[in-house]
Amino acid sequence: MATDAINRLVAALNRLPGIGAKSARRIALDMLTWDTDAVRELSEVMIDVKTRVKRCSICFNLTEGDPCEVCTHPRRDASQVMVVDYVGDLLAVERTGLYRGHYHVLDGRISPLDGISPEDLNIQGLLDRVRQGVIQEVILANGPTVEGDATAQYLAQCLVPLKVKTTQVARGLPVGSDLALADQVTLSRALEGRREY
Amino acid sequence: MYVSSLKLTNFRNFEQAEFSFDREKTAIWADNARGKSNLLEALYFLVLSKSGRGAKDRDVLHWGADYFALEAEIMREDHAFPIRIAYDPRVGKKQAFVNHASLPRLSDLIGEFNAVLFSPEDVDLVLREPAQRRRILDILVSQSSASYLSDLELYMRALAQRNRLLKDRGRALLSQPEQMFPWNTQLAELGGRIVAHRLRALEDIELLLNTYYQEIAPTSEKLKALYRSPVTLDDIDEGQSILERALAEKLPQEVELRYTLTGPHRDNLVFTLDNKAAHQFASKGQLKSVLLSWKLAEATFLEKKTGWRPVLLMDDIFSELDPKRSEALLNMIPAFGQIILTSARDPDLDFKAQGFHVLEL
Ligand SMILES: Nc1ncnc2c1ncn2[C@@H]1O[C@H](COP(=O)(O)OP(=O)(O)O)[C@@H](O)[C@H]1O
Ligand SMILES: [Mg+2]
Ligand SMILES: [Zn+2]
Repeated sequence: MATDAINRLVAALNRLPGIGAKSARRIALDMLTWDTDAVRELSEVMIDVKTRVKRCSICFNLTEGDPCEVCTHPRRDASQVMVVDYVGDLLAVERTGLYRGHYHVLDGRISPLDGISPEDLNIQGLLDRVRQGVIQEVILANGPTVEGDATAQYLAQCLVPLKVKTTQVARGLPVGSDLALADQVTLSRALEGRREY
Repeated sequence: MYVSSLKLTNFRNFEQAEFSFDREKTAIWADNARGKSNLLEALYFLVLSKSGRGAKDRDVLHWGADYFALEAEIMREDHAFPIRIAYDPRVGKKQAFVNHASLPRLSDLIGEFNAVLFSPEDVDLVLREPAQRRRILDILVSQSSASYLSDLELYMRALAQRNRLLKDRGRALLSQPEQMFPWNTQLAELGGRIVAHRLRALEDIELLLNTYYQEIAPTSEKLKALYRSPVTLDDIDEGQSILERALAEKLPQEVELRYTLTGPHRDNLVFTLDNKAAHQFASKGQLKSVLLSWKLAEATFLEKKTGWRPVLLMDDIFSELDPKRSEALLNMIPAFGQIILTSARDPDLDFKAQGFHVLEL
């Protein structure tokens, strides 16, 4: 018989992505065998992450300081900005180490079926950044889905009057997949083969 | 190309069953409701990884079963390879395997095994409904082009998005052209490619279609297949801009009706006999000849496109076609590759004498 406290922990763990009821129970029972300090440390880092990590006010990257490390890095190229759908996509591109410009995270894709319209995405912020004049090239790296393409087309249309060079990454990626799931080679090929809009 | 064996698990009325087929002629012979049509449906499932009759995966799942699987051995020249399709609604997933390797997308299965399914039983449904006529055209083009089905799926997704926008915003869209723009662009781009593929395929089979009709039908009207669309064969390369303009023109009507009025999902495939629309004026017998001519033309078209003779699957043709048409058909069979047909038990039909391997259910 599990106690109420154990049941609460199991229920909480069960909410994590990829953790089913069975794994949640196994983790909870395992945790009971840990030193109290180890458990305390885990709970503290979790609270810490939640209170310290914010969104960058410029590019919507995850960051502890504001602006983020990418936006403030002295050797990164502020004249290029890559537009991605999700923070996960930004992290995937960073892992390749192939891109030296700045980013802009939209936090979604246009999708009327899911009730997401352009106004729900971080598009205004991007247009404001472009208007400031530092950005010379906007690289659209929206996911290769119908919704990603629609989002890219919407942005391209908004950028026309701002007269900034707009390119789209090449589609070496399988249709319907996510940038975040692509491997290094595919991503680097996509970056190299971008074409002008 | 031919299929040498098929193993079914929980597919329609078959809980567990194994069949082997002759490399040329197999007749499946059984009383009614024994699963003859289901068996052909299973064979055709190997082509598109879905039911050729338009049934949902849940409908073909054996009642009360948890999953279904199909396993077939296909022979191409002297090289055999297995295809396996498995569906498990508990994980909501259907997967296809060729040579035991899982395919990243179901549409990758297309082109591995080619077959043509003729079931005169549903000729009314297939030829009288515009949506069904588009479907037989899509089935034909899908098997000849790897990208066609994926374009079609993306088109349907973009269409659903645009229709939702029309439904949610209606007239407000007249003053928000920027909201429509990305969906119009996608529908026009994908739609332009879809229409071009359809028009080219129809151009390819036009002659064949009428030639087969003349051989099968007891009368001699001329059979034509016309594709009605804002895009024509002559301006096939401008398909995208034509569709973009058509979408823009229809917008005032669309915001009232709240769905998309133009594009390949609304184009019409019309069969005419001596210039009269078959779906309106033809008898059931004539319609069956039209459908059979289409299927034979499809088989010849696929052989030309892929280099392999597709398998002919013919359901219950002897009870559905009159003796003259049946005989004409049987005489034409040697020109095709493997044929698997079904028939109700009938002492007057001697398949063995005709060189058929007889399989009883
Ligand atoms: N999902 C299913 N599960 C079990 N039985 C099914 C399923 N779908 C259809 N059937 C059964 O299959 C039989 C019809 O098979 P069918 O292939 O049409 O027969 P035939 O063509 O030999 O006349 C019917 O008895 C029907 O109840
Ligand atoms: Mg039947
Ligand atoms: Zn930033």
